[in-house]
Amino acid sequence: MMKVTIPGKISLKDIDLEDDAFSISYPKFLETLKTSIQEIGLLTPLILRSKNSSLQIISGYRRGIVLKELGVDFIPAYIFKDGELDNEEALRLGILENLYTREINHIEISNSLFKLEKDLSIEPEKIIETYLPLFGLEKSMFIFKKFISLQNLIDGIKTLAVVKKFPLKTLAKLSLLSDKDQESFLELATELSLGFNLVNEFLTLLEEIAAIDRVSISDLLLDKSVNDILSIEDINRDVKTKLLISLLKAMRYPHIHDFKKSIKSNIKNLHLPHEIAMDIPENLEGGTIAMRFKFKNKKDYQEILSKLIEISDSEDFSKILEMI
Amino acid sequence: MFPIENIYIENNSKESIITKNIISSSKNSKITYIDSSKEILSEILKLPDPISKGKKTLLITENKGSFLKKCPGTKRMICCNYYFLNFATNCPLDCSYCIMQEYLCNNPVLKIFSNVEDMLSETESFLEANRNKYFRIGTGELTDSLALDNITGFSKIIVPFFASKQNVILELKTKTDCIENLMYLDHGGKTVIAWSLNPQKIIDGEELYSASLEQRMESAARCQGKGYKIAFHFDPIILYEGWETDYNGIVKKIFNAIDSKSILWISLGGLRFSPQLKPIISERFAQNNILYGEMVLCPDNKMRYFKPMRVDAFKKMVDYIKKYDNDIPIYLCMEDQDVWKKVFGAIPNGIRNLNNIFEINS
Repeated sequence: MMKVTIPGKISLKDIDLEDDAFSISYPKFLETLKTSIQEIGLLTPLILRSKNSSLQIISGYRRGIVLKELGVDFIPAYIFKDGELDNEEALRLGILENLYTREINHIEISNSLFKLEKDLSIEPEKIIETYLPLFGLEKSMFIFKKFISLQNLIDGIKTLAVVKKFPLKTLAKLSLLSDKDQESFLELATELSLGFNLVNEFLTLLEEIAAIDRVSISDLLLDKSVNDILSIEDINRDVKTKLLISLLKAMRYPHIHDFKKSIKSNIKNLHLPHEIAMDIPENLEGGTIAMRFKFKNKKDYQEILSKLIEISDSEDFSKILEMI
Repeated sequence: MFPIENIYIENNSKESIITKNIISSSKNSKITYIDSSKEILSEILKLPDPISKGKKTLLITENKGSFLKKCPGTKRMICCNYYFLNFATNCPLDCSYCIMQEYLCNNPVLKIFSNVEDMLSETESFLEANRNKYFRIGTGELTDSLALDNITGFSKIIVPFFASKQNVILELKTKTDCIENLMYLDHGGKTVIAWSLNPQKIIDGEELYSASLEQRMESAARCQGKGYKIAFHFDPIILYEGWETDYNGIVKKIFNAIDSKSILWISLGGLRFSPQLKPIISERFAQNNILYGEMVLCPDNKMRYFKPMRVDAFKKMVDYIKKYDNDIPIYLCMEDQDVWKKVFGAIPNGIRNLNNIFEINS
């Protein structure tokens, strides 16, 4: 049974700051926390437990490090005596303390579940039943496994994921990549400053091309055509992103690409004045073409009509109709 | 063939003939009587792959709703006026492209409905009330028509029932060779047995627990031998390098094994699925290749092969078939008028003309 106690002043020297057994925090950025503590002080005491001759941190690992860096000697903390809190109770308390004081990210949920399963050898079924609801998650082995899979992410991806708030689905997909592929992908995502929608789009295209061509994503990203776009100097990130997406789509959907290119060329050959536009149905589905035109007077209108009649006899127009 | 691990029988289904058939023929499954399936479902849904577990779990329950429903088709597509008789939901086969993975994801167990009398009486009333119309009714919308027939004995009920009906033909559509029960039934020429066909490499990779192409052909030949009419569905056609040779090979096998006079129709349908099914397929079938085709989102919110590619595929398939028999009715499944026109040069003008395709006089 846990006891509620009044926090006491503890010497920082008595705390084992190397022991992060119950720390779930990610990333372990300390600068923001340091600034906050410097400005407004430590608002939440640490939670500790006696372990052998020193004190082990249950909650407040990052705060402990920062306080040491700031040269603080004594800190407020709640202490559980030896034997008052077993490992599972300690980790649970650490998780709850974090949950009640701030927003927990996907990587931290993954860290918590991983520690419960691997470090404390708790059966997945029990974790699913007891702990997933704590994080507001559905009791599901599928979800549990997805979170555990995030342990396969390299640090850079984890950090990017937290900063950009990537959804679990995207992270789980990234976790299936080899470290080398993750590193290459991270480089691309960082260079183009991709948000999660674009990360998803790039990832799907790269995965599928890699699977079709039986190459790795890292090799694909080393391709000359990819790097030619990345190395263009006088265009911004957004334009580079668009060019790269187009390139990857052409690689992923070669027939569609060729077909659309061919239609575009046929339309170009019609030499339509800018007052006339031809709209081809999306993905050629729907079976109808829309012609739009604008005019100011009767003369313009008659010119447009004669152009429309003129193109109806052209070979390019017939080809377009055949294709639609 | 299909590993049914657990059979749950709702207490109000105990006395059904279907339940009795299942109990007497399921020696290796654990049988449990229950009041409600709610807890079982909730436990299965917690598993990492509820769909796989659901396929090994059979629930015998009453259908509280309607058994018969008109095929909903899909927006803008040509309707072939087909009706479904849903005696079961879900399927012990595990096809990677199966839409039921998404459709039944919250209810993934195999369900067999025990109140067969209600089903027959509903069908009887429907056919009576529409005596001047002709219907095609199939049982293969939400399940394989024959996959569990060896334990349910359902065909022994349904085939004789339809044998005496004048204005309907029953289609039992399958990917299995579970035809033993059919061999001894009086079908009255009112049941057509249909097989979905794909090249063996697609069967091996995408249609788990189904019968091989050879077994399907042999079964079709045996059914033909017993006087059944036969149908084939090339659905879904999956495009890959060299697909033409493989599919042409199947057409050849059909006409080698089956007298074309017995073939009532052949349908063609391209691979299609909702975008929501894509992640389910990738998750459950990691080595799967069918997602790598050049597919686009169509106006009915289904992914299909890019239209010129599927038109080309359908045209080739029609040519392969017509080379052997020019008169066999061929129809497209879930395709719009434009595709019909490009493939056949014309479109069926409404249901009456489609019925002509099926040689049905309405």
